Amino acid sequence: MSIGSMIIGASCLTALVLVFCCLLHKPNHRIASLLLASIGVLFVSGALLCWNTVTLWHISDWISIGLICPEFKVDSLAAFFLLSLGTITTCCAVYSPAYLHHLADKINSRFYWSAQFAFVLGMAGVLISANAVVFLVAWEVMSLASACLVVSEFRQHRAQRAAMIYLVATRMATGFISAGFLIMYSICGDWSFDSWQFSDHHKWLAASLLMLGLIIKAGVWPFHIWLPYAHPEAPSPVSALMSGVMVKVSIFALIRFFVFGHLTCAPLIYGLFALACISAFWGILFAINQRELKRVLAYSTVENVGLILVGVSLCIWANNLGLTGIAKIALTGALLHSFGHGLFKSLLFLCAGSVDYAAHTRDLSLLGGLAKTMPSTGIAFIAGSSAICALPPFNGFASKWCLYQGLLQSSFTMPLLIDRAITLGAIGLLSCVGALAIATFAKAIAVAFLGNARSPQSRKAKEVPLSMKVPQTFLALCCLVAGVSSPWLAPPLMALIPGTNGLQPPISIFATLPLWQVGLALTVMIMFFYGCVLNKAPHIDRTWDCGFGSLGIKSQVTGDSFAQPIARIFSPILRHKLAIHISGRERRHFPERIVVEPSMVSLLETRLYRPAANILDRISRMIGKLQAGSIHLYLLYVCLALVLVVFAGIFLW
Amino acid sequence: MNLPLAQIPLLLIALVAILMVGSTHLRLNIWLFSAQALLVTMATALSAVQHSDSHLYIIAALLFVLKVLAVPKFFMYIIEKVEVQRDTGTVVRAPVAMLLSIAFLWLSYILARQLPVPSGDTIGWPGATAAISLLCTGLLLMLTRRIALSQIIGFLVMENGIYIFGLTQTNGMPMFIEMGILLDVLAGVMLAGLIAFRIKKNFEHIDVTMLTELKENL
Repeated sequence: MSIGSMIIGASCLTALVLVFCCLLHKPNHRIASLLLASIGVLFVSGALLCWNTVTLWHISDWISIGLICPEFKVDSLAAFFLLSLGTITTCCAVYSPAYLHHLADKINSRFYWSAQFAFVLGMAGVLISANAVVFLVAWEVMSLASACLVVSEFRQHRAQRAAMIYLVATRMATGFISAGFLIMYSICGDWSFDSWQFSDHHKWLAASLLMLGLIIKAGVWPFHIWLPYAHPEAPSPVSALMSGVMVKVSIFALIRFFVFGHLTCAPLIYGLFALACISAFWGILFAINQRELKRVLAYSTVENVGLILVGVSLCIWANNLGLTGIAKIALTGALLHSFGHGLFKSLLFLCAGSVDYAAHTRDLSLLGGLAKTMPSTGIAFIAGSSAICALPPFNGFASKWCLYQGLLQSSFTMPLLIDRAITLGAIGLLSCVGALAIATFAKAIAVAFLGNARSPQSRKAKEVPLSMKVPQTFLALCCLVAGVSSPWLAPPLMALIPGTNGLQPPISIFATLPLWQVGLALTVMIMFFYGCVLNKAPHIDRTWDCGFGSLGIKSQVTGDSFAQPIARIFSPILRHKLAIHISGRERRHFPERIVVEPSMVSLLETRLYRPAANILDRISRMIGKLQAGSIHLYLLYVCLALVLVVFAGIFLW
Repeated sequence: MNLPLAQIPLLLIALVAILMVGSTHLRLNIWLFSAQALLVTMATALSAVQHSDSHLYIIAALLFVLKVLAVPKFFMYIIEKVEVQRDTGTVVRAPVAMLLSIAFLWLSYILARQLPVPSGDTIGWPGATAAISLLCTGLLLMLTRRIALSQIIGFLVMENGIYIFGLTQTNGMPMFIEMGILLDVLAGVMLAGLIAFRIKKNFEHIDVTMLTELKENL
């Protein structure tokens, strides 16, 4: 047993103990956050020590859950995700106390901290589980603890509704996963993940059930409905953890089962690829049209999960065709993007929390000008947005570069013409997604942080305290460092899939830069920028106001007006409508009152989920009539059930 | 038809059950149940003689003490306490239910002839007929009566049926299982009696057809 895995195991145990401590006593915010942060640091150090080793360890046989003893396994893949978990947990833990201060009368701190510890513990448990039973137990702890955290502000009706939607999603996910596990157990006769291979064709049912469960939890289109409800209602550190890590845990499971378990069922792979592309596009399209900052981020998570799954499915696909090189690049892209997305999405959620803390609203139409009053948060948000838009010095660039490389390479080397066409199409779609992502975050930055404040409360906003600034800045620096150091991060990830780099002609993923020329060009650019822009004394002019008199705050570009052209282009999908109502005495030339109200309908919710829920409701009512309250009827039911069982036993046996 | 002596109590048991369905007096029903239990005890004792099996004697003794004496005594006590005399029945009237249970006896005779004869016996149908008809009759008693006590009696009749099936078709179950079942029956009757008290106390009656408002309204 290596030291790293001992550290991980010990910190899991500590977290377990702390859950009970939090349940017993009213926890002090500072102490609880210190403990959580140290557990996060321990996860990071354990993950770093465990890198490149495979450690299996099991707790002694007499504490067995049901039939088998709890087994844990830390390999490089688990260590990589544990690294992400540890980093984000630490930042969220440091961030929490000050943030919780402004929610003090709305949440129950004992409840919050015990759920938080259980949540982190559950995620770590899923990552290090070595057999299906441990996996399911940890998965349930993670799901239920996160559901508790979503409903932290338990008095709010909206939070209750969000938690219900989220619970439905997690229940369905757990149901499908359990069914898949049971089928796999009946085929393989073993709960251990090591002996589970999906390469046989008769395992397609188990594979599809598992995949369905995992993508529901990952928030892939059409199952992404829970994300835009659960993320805005949860406190910001929780949404950072949920979006940054929990969603990645299902991606980890997908990689563990289907990449290392060699899934060969072609329809499933194509299906996963298609769903990934759709969710990337759908997610960003809805993100740009949201008015609430955290809903924007939630939909953007849907997009990024789509991007990661494009990489994962491409990896499985290429592996089946024997194109190991492409598989390696695609998996590297997916892993880098899951790590990177964990960093910058949690950074953005923390910044959104800071905005909420300072301005008491997350509605984009009420924010504005926060970069002046909250410079640190503003810079961190801009850094995170640049990373999520894949701008070069940050880490989004490296992972998207790998994804594009994988897709481009496969569009040249895939044997079937249709496969080449699909990958080329995916490149087109992903570039459209990238452009929309830039528009989305340009809107978020411009509306929330630039311009003038649109409401009194955002005018009064002050910079957040130091303990909230530090994690944001740290995560922003992490994004930068991970971006700059990605040439060194990528090769060990490439080595996760065994086999040589089989690209023809041999191409490395990263082009080598002519360093001195780039340096020279940068120096010249910086000097030019300094000389022409910064050296001038700023002088203030009035904006041309078309002769209407001085421009007010309302003449700023709003989020809706920024997004409106894009919404109009995609209006068939978004069901975007603009209701313009002009009134006044002479409404032709001098209208007194103009009301413009954009409306958007989520097709999936109104056309698919609402009718399904209604049908379910109706059926439940019909079934409910069976419960008439008469004892005689119940006796008859028991008798009929008995007779049925006897006859079924006779005829089916 | 010349039946062995051991089989006659079995058929009498089924006839007593039919009489129970026909009677609406609770006291009479309890007397009939006691008589039925006595017949069960006799059948057990005869079987013990026939197979010269010592543990069947113990079970017969237990049956006599519990089912013939203790349970009817307890029922009489409950009837005193909750002050009910008659059970007018619901859905179908008592005579119709009696006719139905005679039809059930005929059906169970047909079913019982289909069953294989247990090893060691020359004829097995009287035991199986009695058992199946007791099951049906007990269920009928539970379904067609409105006083909660009748449901308990019906349950006990069904239990007798299961016991007789075990006795005649499997040459007796292991003694521990029999004793366990007897203990369960005793505990069940005690609990049901206590619950009948509570219902009487809270609702002023023990008519199960009027307990429908207990369900959750949607």
